[in-house]
Amino acid sequence: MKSKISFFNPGVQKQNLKQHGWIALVYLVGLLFTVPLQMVLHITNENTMPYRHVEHLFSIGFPMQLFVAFIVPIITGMFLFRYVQTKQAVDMIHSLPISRGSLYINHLLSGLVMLVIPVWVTGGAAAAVSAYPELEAITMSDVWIWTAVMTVMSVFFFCFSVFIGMLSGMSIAQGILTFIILMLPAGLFMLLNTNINFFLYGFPNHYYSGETIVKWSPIIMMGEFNHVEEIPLGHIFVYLGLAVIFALLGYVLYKFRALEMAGQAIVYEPLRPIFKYGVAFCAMLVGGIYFEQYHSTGWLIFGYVFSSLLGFLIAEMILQKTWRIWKGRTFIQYAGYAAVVIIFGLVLHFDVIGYASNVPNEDDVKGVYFGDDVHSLTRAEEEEDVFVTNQAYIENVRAFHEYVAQTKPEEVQTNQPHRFNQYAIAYKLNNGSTLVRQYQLPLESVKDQLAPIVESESYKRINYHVDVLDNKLQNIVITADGPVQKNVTITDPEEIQELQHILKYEISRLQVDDVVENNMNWGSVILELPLQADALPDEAVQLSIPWKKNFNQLEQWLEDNGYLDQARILPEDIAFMEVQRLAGGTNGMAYPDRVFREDLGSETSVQVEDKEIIEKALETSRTMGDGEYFVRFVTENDIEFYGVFTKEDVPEEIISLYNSPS
Amino acid sequence: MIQIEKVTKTYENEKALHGISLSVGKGSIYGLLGTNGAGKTTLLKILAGIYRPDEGNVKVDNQPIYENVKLKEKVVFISDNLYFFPQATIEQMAAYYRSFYPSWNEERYQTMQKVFQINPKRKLQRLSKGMQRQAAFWLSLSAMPEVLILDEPIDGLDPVMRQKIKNLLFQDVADRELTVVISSHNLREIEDICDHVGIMHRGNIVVEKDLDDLKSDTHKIQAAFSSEEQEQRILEQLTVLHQEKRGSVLLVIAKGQKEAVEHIVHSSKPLVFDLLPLTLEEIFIYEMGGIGYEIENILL
Repeated sequence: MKSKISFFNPGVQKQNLKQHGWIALVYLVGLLFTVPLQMVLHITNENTMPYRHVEHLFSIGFPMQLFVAFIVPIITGMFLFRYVQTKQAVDMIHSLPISRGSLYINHLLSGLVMLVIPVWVTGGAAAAVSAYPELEAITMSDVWIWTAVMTVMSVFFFCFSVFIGMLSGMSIAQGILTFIILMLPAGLFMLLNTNINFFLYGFPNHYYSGETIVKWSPIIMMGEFNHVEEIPLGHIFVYLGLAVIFALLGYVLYKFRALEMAGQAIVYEPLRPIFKYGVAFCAMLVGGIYFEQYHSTGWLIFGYVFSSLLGFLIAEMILQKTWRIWKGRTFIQYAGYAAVVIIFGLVLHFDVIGYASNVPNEDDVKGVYFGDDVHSLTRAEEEEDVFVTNQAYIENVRAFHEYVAQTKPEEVQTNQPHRFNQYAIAYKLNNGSTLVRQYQLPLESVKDQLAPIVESESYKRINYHVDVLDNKLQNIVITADGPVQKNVTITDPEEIQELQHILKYEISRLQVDDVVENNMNWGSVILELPLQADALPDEAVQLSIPWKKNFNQLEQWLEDNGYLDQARILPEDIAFMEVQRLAGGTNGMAYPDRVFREDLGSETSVQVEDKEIIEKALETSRTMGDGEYFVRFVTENDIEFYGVFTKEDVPEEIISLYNSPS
Repeated sequence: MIQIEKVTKTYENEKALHGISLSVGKGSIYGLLGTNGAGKTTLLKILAGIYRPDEGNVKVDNQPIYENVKLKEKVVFISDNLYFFPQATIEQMAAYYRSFYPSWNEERYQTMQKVFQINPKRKLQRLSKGMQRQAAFWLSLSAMPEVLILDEPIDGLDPVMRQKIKNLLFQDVADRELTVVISSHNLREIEDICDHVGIMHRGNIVVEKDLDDLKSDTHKIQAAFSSEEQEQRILEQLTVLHQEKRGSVLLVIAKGQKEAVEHIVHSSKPLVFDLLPLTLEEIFIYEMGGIGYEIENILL
């Protein structure tokens, strides 16, 4: 006699094993191939795959491991609960003397067993393989963590798939919705972040990395497991809790489920509008991103309208299960949606909340950051490292921000190479919050406001590593830019000290024009810090300062000490140079080599071998810029590199090449 | 045995059952008639405890059936769309049913193999529709239910098998008071097994009848009389459902006890008199004709 209390039903279990047992086998084979087998391959192939990169078991067999780990549990949920999605099975199973609760628990249990056992067997196999001495990096605790994490995540994906299955009446919809909703936190964040950026002037979309949100997209979170040093076990515990919650929610939903809705995409009526408008909204954001690339407001709006309508109609078709949905009501609903979106769009466009004009008061600001991007803000371990508290500097940055907020220069596109046109501003406010703005503006529109900032000591201290120059250095390496390999390493402590002085002097002399000019460098100065006591040689910290062509003192010192010929390209290295004039130039939009490689309408080229003119050309040419005269240098070793002379920097000798009557 | 009280069921925006009520006594065979879409299947699925009624009660043995495991152990439902597990044989399916129905009778299962003559090792999904239906009966009857709910069960069975299954049902009803609820859109198919019939139309029961009563209660009279007065006199005395005249022959459908009707007619000394049996179909047509339903369409 069966116990009344016992929910365990041997009949259901046996049938599930018979009908769906293959899932466990597929999962087992998938996991064995992606983990223990990969470990064995690693051992036999040690030469091709140096082993020290493996931190833990998640570094092995990625991304296949991840793929197996979420696809199989989701599919398991679809197959085991298929009986509530097909009408015939629904009738048969639910006419049997078994309660819904018992059916649910037994199917859930079958699924859990089918998923967990393969994980544990794989864990055991991995433990056995890790005993090989070649795999000393993999410890038993790595195996335990892998087994625990995979167990929890398999259970979570399965329970979530089951939960969605209780909301949906179609197995396919269950699978697709499960995947979409798992991706939704990260996806929606990305979509919103990118789209808001089209509307809000100064919105720092790169600042919001969505790191906190991404961890609620478990597939993406797990996608990072192969390159994190430590698996975030805290999150895993949360997912264990979520698995239990979704399993319970699924139970409750099943109890109330109207079985006759099998075959409908969404079983619960109140969720249908959420689905419909949600799809329309997400489709709209995707369409916006796609059409934004054409940089036209008209196309952007077209993208929004077209893709939201498309999403709306597709969602409606899925719900109605027909493509013949062309009723007035459908379009009235869409119009309602459009009206709400337009209102929100106008709120953003006219900046009702005062986002773009918000410049904090001087009294509220504790510290300020100014740079060309927000990466150092998001990467900094301690915010104090990036924020400058110097009052004058804060005031300069505020003045810059104020000017931009008031004049609102039209933003330029990011894709212009080698231009100084990105500005990121961040304030640490006294109330503890951070205010971040990011602009892409043509340099000319803000240069006057930029000068006091970039010429200040505070700015240079951060951007040119002046702090590092104040301290003891291990080595200084000077390398040449461009295709010619040259470098010199200064190891003598006295010389290093002299260099540190000279570099600080050169940096202090930098003017705004030097700071914004990235295309007139001889090379880089690399500062190597003394090694930490327990660090490996390849972990040395290296910081780089551009070696600008007008660092005359530096050049003098290198020459005096006999390093110059090893540090930069000299006229002696050049066999000849070739000059071309292109009337009107390229607007700075093309690399100079294009002028030589393609026929852009330039005049006949002139070849120069005079070392003095070559030296002048080397000193005044840029790798990128707006000018009419272009130059091709060919070294004695037949290596080529290219340059351009901007209008104000063209040497007389070169102009005369074209002007002299020939 | 079965009480259905004011049951309504709505699918999305479509009302399938409008407060339907009916009751079925223990050991009777109840035929549920109606066109496609009348709500028969919905009612049966609610009766089998599959769907939850929006309103009203469905009781078997005075207990609500929905989610009542103990009660459902005594109830078996055969759907018009049969479902068997993929790749399952009859034997495997029997094992599955055995694990659910405590009253499963293995001996009966083995014996009935002789009736159906299907190899229990055959896979159900490879069987023809008719054979699948036979297998469903085989499995269901082996579970020894007290209530058997059959949705359009006769479809797809050959006449010999129909008779065999009917005999099996009769036997169970006689031996152990099995209660059967059987639906059909064709009255002729079930008139010889039902003792009660309910006709459903658009989510309501429009007629509910005891067939034995009906048959003994309604008569077709063919008679000719010598005078108009005589004719009028007997028409006044009888409860007439329908009358027509073909030449001098009067055709009357009348209600009442057979003896009483005979007595009334004989008293007027008819020239010709025949008392003919009516088919169920005729009875319904004449009965319902009175209340204005196009019953012919319902009965097919």
